[in-house]
Amino acid sequence: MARSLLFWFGIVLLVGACLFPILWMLNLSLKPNELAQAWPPVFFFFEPTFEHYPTAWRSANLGPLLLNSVIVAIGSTILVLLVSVPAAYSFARYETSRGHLLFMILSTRMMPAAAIVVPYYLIFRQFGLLNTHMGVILAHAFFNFSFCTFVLYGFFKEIDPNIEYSAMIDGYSRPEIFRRIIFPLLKPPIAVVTSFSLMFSWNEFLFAFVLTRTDASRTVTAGIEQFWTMTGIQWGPMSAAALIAIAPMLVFSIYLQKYIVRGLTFGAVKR
Amino acid sequence: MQARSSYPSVAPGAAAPARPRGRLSRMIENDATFKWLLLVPALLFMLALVVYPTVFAVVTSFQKYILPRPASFVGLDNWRWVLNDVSFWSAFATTLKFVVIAVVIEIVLGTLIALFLNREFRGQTFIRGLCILPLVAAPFATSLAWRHLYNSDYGVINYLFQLVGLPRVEFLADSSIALFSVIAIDVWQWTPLVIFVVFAALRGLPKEPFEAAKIDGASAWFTFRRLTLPMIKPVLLIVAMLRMVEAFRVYDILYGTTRGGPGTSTETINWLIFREGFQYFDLGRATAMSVLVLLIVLVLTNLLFQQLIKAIRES
Repeated sequence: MARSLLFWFGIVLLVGACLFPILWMLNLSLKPNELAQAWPPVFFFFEPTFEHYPTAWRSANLGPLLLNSVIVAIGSTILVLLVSVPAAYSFARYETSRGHLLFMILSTRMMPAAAIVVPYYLIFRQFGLLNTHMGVILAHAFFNFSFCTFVLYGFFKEIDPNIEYSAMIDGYSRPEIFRRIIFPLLKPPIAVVTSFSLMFSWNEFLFAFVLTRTDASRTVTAGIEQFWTMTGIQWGPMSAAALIAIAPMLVFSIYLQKYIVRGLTFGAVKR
Repeated sequence: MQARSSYPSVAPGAAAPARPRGRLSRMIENDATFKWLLLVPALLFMLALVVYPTVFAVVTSFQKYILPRPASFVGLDNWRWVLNDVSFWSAFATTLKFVVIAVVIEIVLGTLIALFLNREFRGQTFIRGLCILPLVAAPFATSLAWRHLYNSDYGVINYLFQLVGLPRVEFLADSSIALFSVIAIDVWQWTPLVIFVVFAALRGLPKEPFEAAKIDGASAWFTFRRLTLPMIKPVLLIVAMLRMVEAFRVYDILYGTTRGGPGTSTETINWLIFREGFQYFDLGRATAMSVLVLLIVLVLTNLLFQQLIKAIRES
């Protein structure tokens, strides 16, 4: 009995620690301005206000920013899939370049973001890609490319090549084999790679911030930067905006939890 | 041919389509050309987004290039400056300190929590589902909430400190503490990843050795030291490697909280390059730093990678 009580105390502590900063954001977003900096902090008993949400929405231009996030996340994910699905298949089925190229692609993941962002900025400036959706899409696709190729490679390795060989003997052409045999088997890996890539793109800050200077293509995660000031922060609107920015991913994670976990761990966790 | 019946969606009686002709289709049907054809998009992609920017960075690092003025070649000036720059090496040390402390805490804490959760209890899936939230919320957004929690005048953490009789702490404004405060945010965000990975590894362990140990009356600590730990070691090494690579590029939570300060106490390599490039607009120096960091990281990860492979082979 005492053991079980101790166990549940531990669970409460764990869940509390995980959730508290997010719940506190919610708390701040509903608190009247005069209570945001009260001492001692007010946890529960206050008259909630809903004025911060419309204020944040209007002042930060959140509608267009959210739309940008959707465009960039979907665009970069499609681009990554188009590039990494065939590449991963080639590596898995034919051992193309005996793993050297795959290792090279994997090692681009190790490149520190800041080391890439300066040349990207200069090149994108030259090609007129700053402040465009395409610019952010390319940058995010670069980050996800190595990961997606590697995870898909693992999946392709598990498909028995004999299925394809026998279909070939039966006279099916290569495009037919892909359409009828390979693609139906690809649903789970595509789900893993897609959910990871969407989430990464939605949450990414540095590139989305540096490569955009206007609201025309800035994503919502980078857009809430405008609330950061040295002093006199508007805690209410800022928390409301931050919550709006993370809410889609929180909801998303409820449905796609196992894919996200598998993605975050480079496919190491298989459940 | 037994395998016939296992074709997923090729109906047995369906007429096989005639093989198309033409140069492209012949390349598709031939393995030797097909495997490279599949790689064309990836190679173009690498060329445009990896090779070209890297070459561009190397070239720019030999130029004096301060926006908005045009670039001019200056030889090794930027490199000499960066290699002798105290702030570069101190930022490098700060980054290493950040990475090592954060990753060690995350691995130990994550493993302990995974061991703690490794049992059957009511609502277990739901509770584990809640633990994933720090991982999926944008770190920049949550760091804004942390800034409020850490405040020395009205922050909740100082309030909790006061309740248990601890003194008031300037979490983000005290230069000897700020780095640890930022590390704590990283730990909050990433420990769930370690929990998930280790938890999955624990669930996949064989049952027999543990039952045998129980019958022999082995203590919990002995079982962990001699059985569990060696068996999950490869997984721990992989997740440590993943975390190190990611922690090296910490940026968002710095931008949301300390912005490199107070002084330069939380200035990491990422932060320094950003400052040089996008606040001073000295792109020559910024790219020289970038190339140097790239080289250092490649060497370090290569060493780590070899150690990792060696360790996994041994266990």
